[in-house]
Amino acid sequence: MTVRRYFQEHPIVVLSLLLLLLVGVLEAIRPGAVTPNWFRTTVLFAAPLGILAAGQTLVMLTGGIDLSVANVATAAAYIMASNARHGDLQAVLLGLAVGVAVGLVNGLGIAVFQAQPLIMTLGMALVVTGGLTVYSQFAVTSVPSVPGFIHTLGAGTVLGFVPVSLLLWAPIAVIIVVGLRRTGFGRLLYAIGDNAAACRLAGVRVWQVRLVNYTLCGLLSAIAGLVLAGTINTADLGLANTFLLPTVAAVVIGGTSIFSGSGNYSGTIIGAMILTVLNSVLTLLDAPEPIKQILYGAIILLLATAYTRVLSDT
Amino acid sequence: MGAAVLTFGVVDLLAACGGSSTSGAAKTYKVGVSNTLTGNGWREEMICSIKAQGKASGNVTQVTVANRNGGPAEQIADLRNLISAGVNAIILNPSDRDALNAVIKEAAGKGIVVVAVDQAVSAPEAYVLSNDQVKYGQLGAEWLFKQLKGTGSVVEMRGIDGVPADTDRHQGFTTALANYPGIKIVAQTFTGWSLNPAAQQINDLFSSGKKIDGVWTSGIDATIIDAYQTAKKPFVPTVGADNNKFVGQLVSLKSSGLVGAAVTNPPPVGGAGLAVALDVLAGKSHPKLIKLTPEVWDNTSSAGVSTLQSKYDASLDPYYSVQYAVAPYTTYTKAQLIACQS
Repeated sequence: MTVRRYFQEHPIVVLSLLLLLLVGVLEAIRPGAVTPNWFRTTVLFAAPLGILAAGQTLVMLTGGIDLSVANVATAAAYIMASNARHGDLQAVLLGLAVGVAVGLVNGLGIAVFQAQPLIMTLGMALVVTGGLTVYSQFAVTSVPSVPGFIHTLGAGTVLGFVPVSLLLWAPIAVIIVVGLRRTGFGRLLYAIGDNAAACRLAGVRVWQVRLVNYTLCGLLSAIAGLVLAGTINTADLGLANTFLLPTVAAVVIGGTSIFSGSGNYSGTIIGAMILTVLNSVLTLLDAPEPIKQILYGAIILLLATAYTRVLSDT
Repeated sequence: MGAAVLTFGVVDLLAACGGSSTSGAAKTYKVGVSNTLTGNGWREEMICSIKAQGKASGNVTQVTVANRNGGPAEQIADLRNLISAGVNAIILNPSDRDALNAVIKEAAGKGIVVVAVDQAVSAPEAYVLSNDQVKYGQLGAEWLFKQLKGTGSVVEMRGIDGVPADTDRHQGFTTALANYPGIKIVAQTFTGWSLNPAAQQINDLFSSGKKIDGVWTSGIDATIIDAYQTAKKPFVPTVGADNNKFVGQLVSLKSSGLVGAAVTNPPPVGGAGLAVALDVLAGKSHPKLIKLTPEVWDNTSSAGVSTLQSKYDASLDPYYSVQYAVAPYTTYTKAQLIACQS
């Protein structure tokens, strides 16, 4: 029982063990696959997902959800790439502005006009994709290219096997993990997720917190989009779209309650790593595609349920 | 509605008594387009080719595009709306082979010419114009296996499991493979025709230490070449599609040892479909099923290199398909296609 108690108090340990188990499976399927180069590849592809899931963690902590994160990331990357000819700095700022703008609109709709987050962000996801499609027809001859330093950021390596994107992801992670625990804003997110009505009665301007939170989520989505464009060295109209449900999965596997009020970003980070390693396992597994799809779904289900069982008090 | 029906009556009458004696210059048409996959560069280029062909033809007054994400139910609703809007021809990229047949029959009953492009429908009233996807898989694979002199380890990077184009391409790939017993498929992956999964898959294969002598892709090609460059690995013969960036890489990286071939899968099947529809409206006949044989542009033959060089456009989007026209059907210029205006 003491072991269980320990796990309940340190859920991140359970998750890390699950991640190690998956890495063990990978090595068993393909002996010699787990190398420094493997580490590089895994972090390279986990970083954009992890940054995208950071925004998702913030909004899910307050009982919301953002279904526009992937479309915002795609739009930010595409707009950055198609403006690269005006200078790298301007291109990057325009890309980030997309995230801030969409996040602000999401925040206004949800915080001020009381729109249901699911519907608000789903609607914005469609608006962003449609807008991007129209934009792309004007921008088709604008030499879309990923600036060199963004490519280095997304795909470069230092010290032999450390991806450059880790040098961006790690500080973001530290700011969010510490910020959630130590700042008033961070603690308000938990409080609002737990009981927004009580917060309001206690004098908290809930709408302001939500507005800032969704804007932050939009900004983080845009950053993830730029990193991903660097990793792939191209931006197209569907660049980050495959990441939408994995962001939610990474947050849930990471132990953030879908009913809000509890969880942390450190869990999401491991969740993003687990999903990325799972993809590698399935790529190297010699099995028909439908079997792989079943495995992917079943393993995510197993992780989410086993984890909640270990952590539940009963 | 009344006006719409009246228009059909007039068009029918003209078509019936027109024949070869009237010039047809005075006849104008309204065209409807139905597409059910958005945010996809290939599909957008397909729609642009329809608009460009409408403009180039000179007798299309209006192109109405119904474009949203959906399945057969949404597409049936869109097709009904286009029929109500009084169009004379409908160009659609079908979301299902059989499910649209009733509404296609309804359209044909009103004298509307229906052309399914890119993928087939089973309705006997419809014209079908599409790339031969079996040949797409087969021609590219044969080029690759020949390039490897019949022996080696090959990675097959497919699209989406269960989608007709993927199934057809795989069938062609398998047909080619049957003649090359020395070729071993060391990995088969599904990219979902998305860049990000494809990039992770090729990197995973790099770290796995598997020997790779050649890569066949179902169109996510430039991303694979980028991954080889980033990982500083020597290139292996690679087959892709007629995507702008890949076509450019085949030219510019030839001196760095890149050997590869682009197999065409032109989005202008849309514009070609409209050309066929306008012909039919003008009384000319076309076969109900038109299959385009893909071209293979390799960078190992001089003819291939000159085609690749002429098609590559450094000012265009990386995944813009550079097979700008479908001969002998489309008549627009490349500039009209890119302008994308009807």
